Amino acid sequence: MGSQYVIFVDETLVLGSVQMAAASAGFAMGREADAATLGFEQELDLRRGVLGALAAAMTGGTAASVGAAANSAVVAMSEIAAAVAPTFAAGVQILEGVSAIVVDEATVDIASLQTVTGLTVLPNIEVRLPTPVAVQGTAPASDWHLRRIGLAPATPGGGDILIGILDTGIDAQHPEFAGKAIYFAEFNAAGQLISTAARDSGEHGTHVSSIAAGAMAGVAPDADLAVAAVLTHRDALGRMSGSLVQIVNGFNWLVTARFGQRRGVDVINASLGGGGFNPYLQQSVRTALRLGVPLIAAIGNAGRFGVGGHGSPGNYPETFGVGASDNADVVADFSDWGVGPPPTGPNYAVPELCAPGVQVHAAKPGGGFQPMSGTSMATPVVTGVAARRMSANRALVGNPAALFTDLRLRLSPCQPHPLGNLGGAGRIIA
Amino acid sequence: MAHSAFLVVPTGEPAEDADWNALDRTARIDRLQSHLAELGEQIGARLGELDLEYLEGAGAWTVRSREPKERQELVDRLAGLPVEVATDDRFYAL
Repeated sequence: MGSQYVIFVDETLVLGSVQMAAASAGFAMGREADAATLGFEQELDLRRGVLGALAAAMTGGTAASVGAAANSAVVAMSEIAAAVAPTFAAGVQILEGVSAIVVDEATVDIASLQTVTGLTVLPNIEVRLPTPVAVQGTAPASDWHLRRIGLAPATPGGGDILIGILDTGIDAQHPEFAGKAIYFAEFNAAGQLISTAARDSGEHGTHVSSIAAGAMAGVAPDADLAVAAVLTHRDALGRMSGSLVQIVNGFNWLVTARFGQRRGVDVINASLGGGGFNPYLQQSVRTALRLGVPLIAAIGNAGRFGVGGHGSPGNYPETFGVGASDNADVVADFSDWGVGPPPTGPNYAVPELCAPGVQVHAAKPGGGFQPMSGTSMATPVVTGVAARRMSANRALVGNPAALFTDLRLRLSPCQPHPLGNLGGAGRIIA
Repeated sequence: MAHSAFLVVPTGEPAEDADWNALDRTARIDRLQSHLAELGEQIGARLGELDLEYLEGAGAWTVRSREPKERQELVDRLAGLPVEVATDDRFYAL
């Protein structure tokens, strides 16, 4: 056997084809919606079909034909995926979970493939795990998300404000959270509180918490945290998720629990999303607003395919939905945008605004920092700014309408992504 | 450990009293619970052996059972009350 190459296919091509195939089969559009309604095995089958069709073009065609297949993937490959069971040449392996194809050098024209937009061709090298070392460092390698909104790292702010985090949990021992009051509750799929010993089921919650209120990566380093671990199930693709009952019970704990002398948190950050518009969680969000607790939520990572398919709770008119922008104030290609889907009343644009969410460096469980991208990362930037504003002006505490009005006045222009993604009214400033 | 769990939400929202904005959070929570108490009792009476938990910050209820339950059974048992039994959904880290 000759040398092997791994060909990574642009996720937007694969996802677009999968979603169109799903839509043609009668399933809802939107990434989260697909995951929820298609079923995991069905989604993998579609992904395998899409990649298989591309692999067939690679092994039997020219760069031009492969390029045509890749570039037209969004409009044509859904039909291929739905209708064709591709036959693979010897030496072709489909890695549907990571949108990649492994090929033998002899079966394809590697040089030609390297010219095709949307494909990344890499030699299949042997990888050895390095000797584990402790991840050191007391500050993140990059702090652009702070400087872009007008803050230097560790700029005091957010004092006497309690931020609620609805996520995977938190590594409360991380130096980012030293000296901070951290309240924690973990809920199981039935919504039962099963533990108050802080932990992170993944890495997402620690990262998000660090952006909101960490010592070095945090927008509001003086704020305290209440973390409800509600995304505690990891699927085969590594995605962390939780059930509706789990989410609502965690949300309820954040709104009503007694945290020291305080009843409930001052603001909730939800860097999560469900499949499309969920009217049941909306009831909880409305109740929280009446009780004086605002919700700031991610709008979603389905990018240009998110039009009309944004997940809740970021797509509620009662929520501050947040999109992601990069270090040039351009909206990220993965950031959802479009028109919200209210059951009644006029349409409204989503997201409300955007914030730094591309390659944001923040805390990693166990120590150190790591970059992550997503509207999940943009959301705690806005939550941190909200905490700073409430700390500076106590009249904003317990008054979501006043807080949202205040935040809407703290915006700088952001540029649409060339694919069309819009970032709402602008990018937040501290 | 519960085997099945469902969210039950009221189809209408209790009207806010004139003094609502003057109440602190705890008073608002108590007022909302008071408004929904009768409905909660009606739900409890219909569901009998099932565990019913009022979520005071969500204005909704969690229903849990030790045995497997289908959503439709709860829908049937709560028919006529101004509530909905939520269909399940999954929420993902973004």
